[in-house]
Amino acid sequence: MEASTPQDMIASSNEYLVFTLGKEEYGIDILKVQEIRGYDTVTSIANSPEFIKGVINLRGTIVPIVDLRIKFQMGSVTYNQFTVVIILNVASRVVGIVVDGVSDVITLGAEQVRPAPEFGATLNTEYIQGLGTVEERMIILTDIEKLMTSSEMMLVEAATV
Amino acid sequence: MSIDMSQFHQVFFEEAAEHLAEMEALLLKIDIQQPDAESLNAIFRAAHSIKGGAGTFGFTDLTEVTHILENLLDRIRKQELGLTSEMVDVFLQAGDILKDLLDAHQSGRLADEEPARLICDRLHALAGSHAAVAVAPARTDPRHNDPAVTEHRFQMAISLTPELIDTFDLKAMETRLQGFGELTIIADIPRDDGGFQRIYTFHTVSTLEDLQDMFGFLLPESAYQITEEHVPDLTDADDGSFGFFTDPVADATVLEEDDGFGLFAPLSAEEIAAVSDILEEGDGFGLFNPLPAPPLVVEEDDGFGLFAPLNEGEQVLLDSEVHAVAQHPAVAAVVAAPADKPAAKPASAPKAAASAPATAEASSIRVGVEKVDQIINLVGELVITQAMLAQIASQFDPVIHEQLHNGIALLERNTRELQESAMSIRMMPISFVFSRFPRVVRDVAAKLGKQVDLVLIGENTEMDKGLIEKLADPLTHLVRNSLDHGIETAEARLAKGKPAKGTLTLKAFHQGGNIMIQVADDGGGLNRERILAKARSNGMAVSDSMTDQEVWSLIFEAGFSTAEQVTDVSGRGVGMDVVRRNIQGMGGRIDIESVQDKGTTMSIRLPLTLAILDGMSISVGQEVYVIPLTFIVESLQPSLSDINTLAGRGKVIHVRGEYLPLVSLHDVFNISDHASDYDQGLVIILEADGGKMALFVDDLLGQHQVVIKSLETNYRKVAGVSGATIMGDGRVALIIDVEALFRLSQH
Repeated sequence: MEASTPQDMIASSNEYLVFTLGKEEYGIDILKVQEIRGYDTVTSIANSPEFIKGVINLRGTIVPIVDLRIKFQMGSVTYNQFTVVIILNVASRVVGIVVDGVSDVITLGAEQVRPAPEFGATLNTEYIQGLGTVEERMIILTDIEKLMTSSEMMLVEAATV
Repeated sequence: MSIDMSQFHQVFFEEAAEHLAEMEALLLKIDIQQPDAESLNAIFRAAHSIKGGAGTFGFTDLTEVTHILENLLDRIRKQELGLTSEMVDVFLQAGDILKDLLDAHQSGRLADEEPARLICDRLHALAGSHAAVAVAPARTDPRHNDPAVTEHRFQMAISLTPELIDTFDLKAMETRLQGFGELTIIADIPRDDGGFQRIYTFHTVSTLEDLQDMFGFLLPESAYQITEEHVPDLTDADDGSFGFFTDPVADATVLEEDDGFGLFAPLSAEEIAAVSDILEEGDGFGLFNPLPAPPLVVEEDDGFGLFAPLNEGEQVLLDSEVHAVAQHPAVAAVVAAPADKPAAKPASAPKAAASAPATAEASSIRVGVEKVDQIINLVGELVITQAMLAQIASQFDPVIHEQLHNGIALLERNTRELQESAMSIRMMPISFVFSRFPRVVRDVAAKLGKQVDLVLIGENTEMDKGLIEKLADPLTHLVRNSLDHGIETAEARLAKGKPAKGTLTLKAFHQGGNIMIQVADDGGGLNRERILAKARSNGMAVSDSMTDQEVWSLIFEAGFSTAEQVTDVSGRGVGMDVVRRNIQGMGGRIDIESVQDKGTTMSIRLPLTLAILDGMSISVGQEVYVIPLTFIVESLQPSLSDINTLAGRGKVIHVRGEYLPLVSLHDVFNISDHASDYDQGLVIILEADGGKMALFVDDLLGQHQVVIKSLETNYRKVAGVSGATIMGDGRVALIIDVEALFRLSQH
C-alpha cells in the first residue's frame, strides 16, 4: 500500500463524510464512500471476531459488515431501522461499517486541519490524518482505507497487504 | 450478381469453418492402420463441401487446395492409396492453411499464396509418392525412390502465348515440378504468335493424372500436352490397384476436372456436372467391380442430409444423385445387395448418426458479454422479487385465494428455469479449451520425435467462459513444456523400464469451491539439483535446505530454464513466469508436484467466480448453509441408539453396518440455538476423497442451483466455507467446504 502523508490526502480531497461513534465525530474521505444504507439482516460468519457482523448481499456482491461500535467499544450496540451502514470502497474492496449515525458532509481547508497529538485514543493515531475544526466541533479525520485494510480489522488476508 | 453472392459469403465462411473443424477432429481420431471408411467419407465430404462453396463464390485459392486434397482423399477412401501418418500431418496442415485463407477472405485481406502453393506441392508429392507406398511403405521423398518401384517418364510441352508469358510464372512452375521429380528442359520452340513452346522430360513418381490435375489448374487445356513416354511394367504400384484400366481412370480424372470447373459456372451447369460425376463414378467402378460404389453413393446421400442447413446447390446435387441412382439400374440393384466392403460396416452408420447432432450444436450466435451479465443481474433481481411475492402470498388463505397461489407457484417455477438458463449462458464445458490439445500434443510430439498419449478427464466440468478463454494460453504452455521437458524420448523411457509411450493427462474437476486443472505427465520429473544450480548461477538466493515445493516454485521465476538446449518448442525461459502471472491474474494458483522419474503434475487452482453449483440448503439454528450436492450420499433421521462415542470424545454413527464419524455442524460453526438432540435433527452422509462422514444438521430446506460467489473478493477465506451464494430471498448463505469438514473430522 502506498504510504500517503496527511498533506497529500488533504490536498487530493477535502470533502469529508462525518459520522458519529458515541460522542465523537469522525470524518472520512467522501470519495471512499460508495453509499449509505440501513442495516439489514446479515449472514453471520462462524469463528470470526465479534465486530465482524457477517456478510450481506449488496446487489449481487457479497459485502462484509463491520460494526465499528463494537470494534471501538463506543456507542450503544442496538440494531433497528435507524442503524446506519456506510458502504466503503477501499483498496478495491467493498466493505460496510456500522456507525451510530451520519451527520453531514463538510469541506475542510488546509488551515482548518491540525495534526493529531500523540495520544492514547481509542483509535490508534496511526490511522488519524488530523483533527478538523468546524464551528467548535472537532472532527477526527480518519484514513479509513488504512484502517480497513489493517491487520487488526481482520478483513483482509494478512499476506495480501 | 456479385452483390447477391456477397450476402451468402458469411454463411459460407461459417459453414467452411465448421467443415474444417470437423475435418480436423476426424483426422485426429482416425486410426491410420484401419481407417474407418465412414470417417474417410466424412473428411472427403467436408473437403468437397468447402470446394463446392469456394468455387461458387470464386475463391480460387481455396478451390485449388481443396481440389487436390479432395482427389487424394477420394483415392484413399476408394482404397487406391494407403493412409499414412504423414498424410494425416499434411492434411492437418492443409486444414490450417485453408483456415488462414478463409480468414483472409473473410476479413477482405489478400491471402498469402505462398503457403497454399507449398501445401499443394506437398499434397501432389503425397499423391505421387504414396502411389508407390502402396507397394513399398515408408517412402517420404520421391526423389530418392528406388527406380524399380514406380518411375514415370513424361514428355511435356508447354505452349505459351504472349499473354500467358506475361501472366504465367513458368519459372515458379518449374521449381515446383523439380520438387517432386527430375525436370529437364529439352528445347524452346518459337511459336508463330510470338510465344514459345518449351519441351521437357520429367522423371517422377507422380502419375499422369497428378500432372494433369496440376496443369489443369495452372494453364488452359490447350497450353499443355503431357505424354507418358514409357510405362516400366504393369506391376507398377499405380497400375497394380487399377488392373489394366489405366486409361479409363485417366479419363475419369479429366471428367472430375470438369466438375471442379463446373462449380464456377451457374447452378444449372453444376447440376449437369453432378450427374456426370455420379455416372462417371458408377462407370469407373463398373469396369472392374461394382461393389464399392453403392455404399459410396448411399453415404453421399446420407451425408448431405446430415449437414443441417441445406443450401439450394446442395439440394440440387442431392436430388440429382438420387435421380442418378434410380436411373442407373446396375448401381441401383447393388444398393440393395449386402456389400462386403469395410465401407459397409454396420458400426459406421450409428457413428455417423452420433456425429450429426454435434454439427447441429455448433451453430451459435455471438453476443456481447455485458448483455449476458445484464441478463444475469436482472434475473437475479427477478428471483428476489418473486421470493418476496411468494412470501406475501403465503399470508393469504390458500382456500380463498387458490388461483393466486397457483399463479405464484407457476411464477416460481418459471423464474427458476429462467435463472438456470440465464446462468448457464456464461458457463461452458472446459472441453472448449481441452479440445485443442489432441492437435497440440500430436504436432509437438511429432516434432520432438516422442510418443505421447493424451488423456482428457473431466472435459464436461463447467466454468466461466471468460476464464476458459484466459486459460487457453497458460495451459498450452504447460502442455508443451511437459511434452518437451517432462516426457522423455522412447529410448530413455525404455531404459528406465517405462513404456515407450508417454502419457500426458489433462484433468479438470471441482474441488472445495475451486476448479482444479491438472497437467500431469509420467516423464522424468523435475531435477532438484539442476534447478538449484541454475538458480545459483542466476544469482537467486537459494539454499540446499529448501523444501521441494520451494525448489519447484523457482521454475516460475522469470528467465529460468534448465533445458539443456533451447528448442523451438520451449526452453527459452520466458513462459513459466508468464503462466504464473496469467493464473494469478485470474485469481488462481499453480502448484507443482514432481517425483524423479515418475512424472510431474502441475495443478492450476482457479476460484469459482461464477460457477453454478447444485446444492442442498440446510439449516442450523437461524443460519442457512448450502452443501454441494455432489458430496451428498443420503440423509436420514438418526435414532439415538445408533450414535456412540468413541474413546470418550469423537462420535460415530452406525449406518447400515458402517460406523461413520459424526460431526455436528453447530459445533463446527459455533451456533448456539441448534436442535437440542440428535433425534431432533437430520444426519447427512457425505462422501469425499473415498471416505464417508456423517454431518448433523437441524433441517433440510431444499435443493437449489446456486451461483457461487467468492467471499474473498471483499473479505477473506473462512475456514470450512468455500464460498457464498445469494438465496432466493436475497439473503447470503455460505457454501460448506466439505473437504475441509473431512479434514476437521480426521483431526
